[in-house]
Amino acid sequence: MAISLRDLSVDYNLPIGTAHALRNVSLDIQKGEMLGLVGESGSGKSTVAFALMGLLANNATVTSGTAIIEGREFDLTKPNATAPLRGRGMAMIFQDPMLSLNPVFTIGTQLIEVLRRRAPDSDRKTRIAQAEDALAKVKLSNPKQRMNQYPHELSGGMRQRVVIAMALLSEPALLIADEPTTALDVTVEAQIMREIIGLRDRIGCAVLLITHSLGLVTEHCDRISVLYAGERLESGSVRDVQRQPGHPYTRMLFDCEIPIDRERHADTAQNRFTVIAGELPDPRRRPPGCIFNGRCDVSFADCAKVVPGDYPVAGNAAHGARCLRLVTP
Amino acid sequence: MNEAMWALKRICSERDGRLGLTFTIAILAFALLGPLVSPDPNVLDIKARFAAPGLAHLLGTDNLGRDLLARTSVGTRYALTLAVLIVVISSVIGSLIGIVAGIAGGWVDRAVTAVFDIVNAFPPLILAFALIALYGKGSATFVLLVTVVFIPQFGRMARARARTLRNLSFIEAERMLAVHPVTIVVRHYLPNVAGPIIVLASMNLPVVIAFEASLSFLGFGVQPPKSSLGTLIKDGFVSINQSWWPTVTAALVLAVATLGATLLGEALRRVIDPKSAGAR
Amino acid sequence: MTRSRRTAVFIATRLASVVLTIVGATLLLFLMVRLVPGDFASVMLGPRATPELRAQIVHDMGLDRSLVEQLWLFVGRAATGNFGEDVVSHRPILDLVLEVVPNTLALAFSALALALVVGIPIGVIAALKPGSWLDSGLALLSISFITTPTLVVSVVLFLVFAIGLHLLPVAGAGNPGDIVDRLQHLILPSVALALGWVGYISRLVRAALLDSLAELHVRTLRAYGVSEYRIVGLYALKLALVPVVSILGIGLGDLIGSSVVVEIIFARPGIGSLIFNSIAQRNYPVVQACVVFIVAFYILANLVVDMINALLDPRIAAGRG
Repeated sequence: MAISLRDLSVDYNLPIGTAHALRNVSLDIQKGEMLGLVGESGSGKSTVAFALMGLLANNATVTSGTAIIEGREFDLTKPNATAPLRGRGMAMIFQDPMLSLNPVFTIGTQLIEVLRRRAPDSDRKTRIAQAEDALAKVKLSNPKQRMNQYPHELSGGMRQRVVIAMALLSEPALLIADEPTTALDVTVEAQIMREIIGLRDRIGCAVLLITHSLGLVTEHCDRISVLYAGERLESGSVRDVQRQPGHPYTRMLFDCEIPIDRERHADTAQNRFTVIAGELPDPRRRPPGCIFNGRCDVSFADCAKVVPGDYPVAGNAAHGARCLRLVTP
Repeated sequence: MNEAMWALKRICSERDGRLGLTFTIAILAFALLGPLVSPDPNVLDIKARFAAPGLAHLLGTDNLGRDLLARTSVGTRYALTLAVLIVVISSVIGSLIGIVAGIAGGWVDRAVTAVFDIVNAFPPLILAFALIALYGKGSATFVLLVTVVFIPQFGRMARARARTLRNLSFIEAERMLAVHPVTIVVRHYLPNVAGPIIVLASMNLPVVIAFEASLSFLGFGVQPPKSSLGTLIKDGFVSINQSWWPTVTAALVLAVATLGATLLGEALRRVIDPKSAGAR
Repeated sequence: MTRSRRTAVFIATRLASVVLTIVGATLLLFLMVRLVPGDFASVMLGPRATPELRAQIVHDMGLDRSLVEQLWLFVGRAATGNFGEDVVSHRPILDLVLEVVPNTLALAFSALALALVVGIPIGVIAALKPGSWLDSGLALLSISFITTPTLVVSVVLFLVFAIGLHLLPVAGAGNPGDIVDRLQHLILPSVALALGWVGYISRLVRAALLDSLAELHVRTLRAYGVSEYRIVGLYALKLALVPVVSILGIGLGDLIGSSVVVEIIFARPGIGSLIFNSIAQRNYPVVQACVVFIVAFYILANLVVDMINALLDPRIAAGRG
């Protein structure tokens, strides 16, 4: 077991009250495997990533959670618990490549900065050679020339390749990719995903792919976890979940067959309405019973009272869902 | 009036606002009430030249034996009056020029902007120097000439606001309905330009206070027999070997006045325009 | 377009606008002088006006020619640094100005350097823990520095060192050949001139640093384990310096204006005191030359500031800044 996240709960302290962004979320990712974490915006999927990295905003508190990474255990409730792993055991690719590089430093400087941390004893020449090599590996043309360019001279897709090169240089055990293609052209999406998979295969790391796109997950991931309003409703191999969704929410997602999260479009609320009726519950007050009860099309009386546990789907212990229907004859 | 009360409450709700208000009130009280508790500022008492602070003269006397509390108080009042006049006149004229340029667009706008740029190419104090040297001294001239130096700032801001307003649909609609331009200006431009101009004016007040003091200190501002904080510092500085408190008193009042006005101005900006208040 | 080409275009456009502004300012100065009511030659000469001097001025300045010709003459002469001969000392005015300019430049740049060296660290320290008691204390300190007029700072420093302590010289610029003496004479005026800027720069650095620390690329560096010291002191600070440098350009004019007060109080020869004395003597040609000089310096300084910013932030030269 390469990476294991247990019982992660995160609160945000907002002026209007305490929002429970995540409630006891657990994930497991094998080495060389890619786990797709899907959910609509507000489901808390990015919070998982930042809690793991220890980069949550100041108003966030981790109330419970441990991470086991390469055999070492980290108590995530302690601030900066995973700081020693940043740039060494963990790396991250961000949603908006246009903003994730410093505009006043060259690509080369920022790549070499990663190596200062990863390989403190190597000399500058070696680092430059390694950085150029990494740029070549993520298929950026003219790596030597790119080293001296500034982020604004590169397209969004090229910048994302630079960030992937940073991840490559840090040789992580866990790579977190937070919506790595959302801000990019659809045409670039496949290329970027190819580079991420190439990186995984090169290093043999575990990848946590955070996305709202089921298509991306079914195409590239080995396993899937479905997050809804801060709770994991289902998890299993992509094949199993796709064949037989254990949770009505997952089924509805697959039924929609279009991206569940259309945050790039102006009329978000309206779009979501046409996809799955209803809205996310108030994150400050969890309704009793099943968290999805209000929007479920197959709910029954008990759903409003009993909090469901994780039940195996079709007797498969590796495929679980949090729905009372699974244990109700 | 309710809005003013609300603004005052907001200002008092933070440390800097309270400090600014306290200092400002203290300076105003000093300027207004000083003469009540002290002798006539112009009465000479040659026997008591350079008297140290004492019961007869609370802040001592100057080289001619005049009471310093009274003189500093009157000087403060005059300095504040001039500064307020300069800020008010330059903000009004600047806003009008800016609005006209912004509405007119085209070559008028370009010409006005160019003139503003050129005036801004002169360091303010140097420009005031040159103007006063050429066009003479005296309080009224002084106010007008310093006003010239400060107009471009207000003009630029008003112009920028007017240009963004010009393209708003409701104003365009009124223009098409042939509403009289003056009516449009009064109804839409003035209220929208007023906010940032008031903020800029309040931020500029301490600058102008210091500016007037510097000019008066150098002999380009207030002329005798009138006195302001700048002339008091100068008078004290000339005889600094005999006594240092006249200079220090006036300098201290000047520093408190600018600090108070700045803190108050910034608090006001945070109330009126919270977005631009990032730089605390 | 290649990067160097873009940079060249950027510099060329800036230079063109600089030249235009200087020409405009010279024009304004010309008009200002000519709009003075009364007989111009007499006004220029003031109390020294004799018929001979009058005739000489009328001829030198081309007052007997048309206004356009005069303007052309004035701009042309100003451009070549020919400001005529001083009627008081009978020396070329340019020499008078050039003699004192180094003193003022030394004062302005040492004050600027002092303000940067002290102000940037204060701003960085304040930005490290926004909202802490240290931050709010430094904020009050900064604003007190900003609002205390240079006049007050100069007078108080003068008092303390002339009457109280006698550690540093309070008058003059020092012996021409003696570097140590000159530097000692530079200390108090520089401190007086710099104090407000220390406060100003620390506030600017704090605000700009907090802005750049809130940007997403900082998160990238943190995610890759870059130390907070390097993030704040290198990556965020370089970005934060761009607005600070922009303000410095505008501030230089202020600095030169305030240097008049400082030069008078500390009895330093300089362009400020030269203007002051020339105005007192109603020696307008010298005043005019000084003002042209200051404006040109101010505008050129702003050009240099733009260049520095283009170096700091490559997006500016690319026209995306």
